[in-house]
Amino acid sequence: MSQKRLPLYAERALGELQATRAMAATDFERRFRQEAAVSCKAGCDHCCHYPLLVTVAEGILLYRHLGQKGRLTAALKKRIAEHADLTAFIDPAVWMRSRIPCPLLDEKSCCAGYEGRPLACRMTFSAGNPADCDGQAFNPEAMSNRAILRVVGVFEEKLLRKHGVSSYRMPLSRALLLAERIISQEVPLDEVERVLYREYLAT
Amino acid sequence: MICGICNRGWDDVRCHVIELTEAERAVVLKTTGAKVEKYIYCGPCWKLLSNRQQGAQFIAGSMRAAMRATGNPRADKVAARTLDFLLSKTSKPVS
Repeated sequence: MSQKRLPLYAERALGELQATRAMAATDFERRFRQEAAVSCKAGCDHCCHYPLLVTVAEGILLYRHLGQKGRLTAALKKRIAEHADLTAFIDPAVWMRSRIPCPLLDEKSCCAGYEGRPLACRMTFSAGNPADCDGQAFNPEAMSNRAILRVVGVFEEKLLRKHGVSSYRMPLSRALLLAERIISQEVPLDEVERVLYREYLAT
Repeated sequence: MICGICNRGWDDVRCHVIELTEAERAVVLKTTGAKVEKYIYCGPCWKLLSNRQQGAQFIAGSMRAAMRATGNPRADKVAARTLDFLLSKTSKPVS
């Protein structure tokens, strides 16, 4: 899989974002583990059915990661396209109740992009009975990572704006589809918002 | 129009309107006590409901959440049975 380089300003933004994400996630996990016993277990995938909105920059980082690991299979691409179609403009509360699986989730409940997963995924832990994380039985307002995600989100937005990269948030699958087109240079990075409006928001 | 599921306002052209028959209206009136002539769904919610797996999950999940909110101890069991029932009544995809 060839990894084309984006313009320098975009690579800088992605680099800074990646460093910030790693720092924020590590710090949050350390503090979370100080206060509670993490009860997440391999094979538990409740939080992989939560609504997840990311920026196109996170989409590019994840898409590159999947490419580097050789996991961008035809089956995964099909799941991504189906997910993007199903989640377009869907209300987050409706999404939560519908248990729509993340397209990266495989049949064994493993994440195809685990090591490169978005920040919100890195900062979601269960501290009680993991069964209570089921989106149909759960109050998202009670999530302990909401405040920190908001703070990091504002920082991410400022960082991307500083580098002239769109900070619009969209479902993960939509961001991955767009990332593919940006990396293949079909869509210039500075045209992202125009393309989003034309193909996504105005439809 | 206001979507009956997500309660968001949408352009008329992006909504699906299901007009109830006389018989259906009578059933709704009998079971809920409400006079309903039509149900309005926005495009995204309609797409979700049209999806065999996720549409059934949404209906059963909403039921489960509502029952849990009232403290019903049978919420999970009833929702699981509803999901099985809905999946058994909808056709499987051809491919």
